[in-house]
Amino acid sequence: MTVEATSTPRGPEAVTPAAPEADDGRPGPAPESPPAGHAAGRPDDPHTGPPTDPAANPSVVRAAAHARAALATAVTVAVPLAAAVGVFLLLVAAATDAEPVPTFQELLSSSLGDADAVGETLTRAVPLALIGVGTCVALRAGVFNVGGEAQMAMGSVAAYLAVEALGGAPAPLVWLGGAVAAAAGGALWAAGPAVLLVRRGVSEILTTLLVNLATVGILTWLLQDTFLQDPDPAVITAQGARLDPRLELPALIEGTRVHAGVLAVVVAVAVTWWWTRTPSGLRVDLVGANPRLAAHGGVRPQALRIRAFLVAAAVAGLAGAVQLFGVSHRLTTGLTAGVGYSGVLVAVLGRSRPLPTALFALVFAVTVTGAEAIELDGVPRALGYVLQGVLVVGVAGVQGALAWRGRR
Amino acid sequence: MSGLAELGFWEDVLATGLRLAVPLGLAAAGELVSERAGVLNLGLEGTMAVGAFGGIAGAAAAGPGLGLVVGAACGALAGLLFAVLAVHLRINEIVVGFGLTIGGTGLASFLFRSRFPEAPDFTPYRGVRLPGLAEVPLLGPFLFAQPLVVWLLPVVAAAVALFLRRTSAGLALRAVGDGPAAARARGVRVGLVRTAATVGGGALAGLGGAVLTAGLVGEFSDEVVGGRGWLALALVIVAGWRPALLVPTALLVGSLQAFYLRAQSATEIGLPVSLLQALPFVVTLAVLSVRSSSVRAPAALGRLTAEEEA
Repeated sequence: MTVEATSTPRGPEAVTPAAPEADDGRPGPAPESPPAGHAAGRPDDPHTGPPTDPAANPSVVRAAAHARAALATAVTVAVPLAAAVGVFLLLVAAATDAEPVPTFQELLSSSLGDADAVGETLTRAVPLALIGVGTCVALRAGVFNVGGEAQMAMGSVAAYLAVEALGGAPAPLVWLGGAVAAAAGGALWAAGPAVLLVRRGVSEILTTLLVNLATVGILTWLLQDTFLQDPDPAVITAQGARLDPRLELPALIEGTRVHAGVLAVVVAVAVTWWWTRTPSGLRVDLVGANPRLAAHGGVRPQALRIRAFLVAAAVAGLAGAVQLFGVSHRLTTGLTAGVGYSGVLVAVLGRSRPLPTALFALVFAVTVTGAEAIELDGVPRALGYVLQGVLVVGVAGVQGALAWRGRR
Repeated sequence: MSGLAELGFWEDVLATGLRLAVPLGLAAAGELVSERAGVLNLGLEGTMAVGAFGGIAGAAAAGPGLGLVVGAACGALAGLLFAVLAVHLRINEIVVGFGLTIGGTGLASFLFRSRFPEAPDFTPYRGVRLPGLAEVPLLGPFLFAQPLVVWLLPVVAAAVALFLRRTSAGLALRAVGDGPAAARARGVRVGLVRTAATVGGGALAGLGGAVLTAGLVGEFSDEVVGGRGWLALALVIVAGWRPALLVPTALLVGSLQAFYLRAQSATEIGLPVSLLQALPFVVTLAVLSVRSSSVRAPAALGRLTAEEEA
């Protein structure tokens, strides 16, 4: 977290009084111990200024930079959260018969209050965080993959097909096969938009969204009119057969719904975090920041874009498998439940960095779990989405304001 | 109970198709206005949703006419919010667009459920049959038995086309979208023009949502907008940012949606009905892929955040 926080671009400079050396981003006076901002090695970080006073003790300077970055991070999180709480109280007071403050307390206690509540929130955060972390990879390459919803749905279908194909194999083998199939299914579902993006320049935002909307019908058809439909004749809704109970992911915490899929998130965050620090991650960052410069440097932007796009889609597909084995235990049209969209937003909020993205996934999970609970008090759960919208715009706004201050 | 071979089925599809084209086309016309000014408003879906709610609220108070006005006003407010955040505060327009979509859709659902525990009671616009002409096969139900509100679409499309091409305000708007720096040098107030375009565009999108709920369907549900905002965004590109082409493209997509709806109620159609639900989106995607390389977007579109203050 510390390293993540210090790489907040322009945070330090925003507070630093203009120093004459602030023009070049090189840590001139103390090359052997550069300011902390450079430790992260982010290419979009040219403004992290050198020490204000060249004679200052480098460790003091570093500590000050840390503190400023931490302050910037705190502001970025606190202001939008406060705005969201304000909007919540206002809307509950204005539009419902419920008491605003107790309702807010109810939202918090029902999503964070006890082990059960935390378990529920964690369970909801799993697919969100997975899609978010995958989206980070695409966003870094400048690709706005909003097709997570369809990629996740098709990932779950592919995972189910793998279950059918692997028959009576041991559960871990089936999970592995399902995960691989799901990743392939998710990536396959993004292949069309990826090709259209690089070959014809069609906006991937629109193509992936249209694919999402089309997939709703395709999924309904698959679960209603094909061999995937629930064989139980009493079932008339579109859903698949229940998985063999031995294939359900084991509970991680006894007595809650928290399943082993949480580990997938931990692995995904760790791997992505490591990848952002490899040459490959740096090349993708470069393509996202300046494709022309990247091409001059011998990188093929289009190829990297496609790869990043497909990786994000594969991770979304994987989220479908995790949701199938861990939560729904059968294919349903509601398996994705909008996390494909929210997952993109948490990645935007986390500024394409894996750990903050996973943390914002938790915040979103709180709004969803909590909003469901307060519906019992007569406050419609859709309020949770309003809060997400406020958070998204709020965080982007604060970041914009900090960057603006940094430019002055 | 009509099959594909019967004329009545296709009369229904065409007639319903025109009605469904109206909300789509109006929202697309709104988006076209803001995009011609260089503002990419991805919050169209959310704007339509608040317009749809505003339409219901207004219609419940004093009939569908007020509903349309309130819906347009709600859409204009959403457009204003977008303009303040993206044009003036320069927050990333894609992020603001998604925030507006998720927040607007949520807000509409939240307000409807908390303010209208029981479905509001009002009558949406009914078809007006022109004696004689309404009996003509195919064309009769399509053109001469429709609620009058459907004619909003060609009227608005024509008005937008005239405004952009023939008025000095329209010229300023196009200049801002194609070359903001040059427009600023000529004394055009770029931020103001963009704000006005986004507010006006939002009003049209809100009107589209209100036509859907207050004018035609008569009720609100969480799925009432159902991706129409995104379809409208695609239609703007398919139409090559030309208002006149919005009418036929909206009619095509509306008819595909109508085909699905009619097929749903017809029993012996012999096609997998749920798959037909995907048809409008698949066709839009296909047309978008073919068209997008032969049309030219406003030069400054999508660069709001990157643009430097001149």
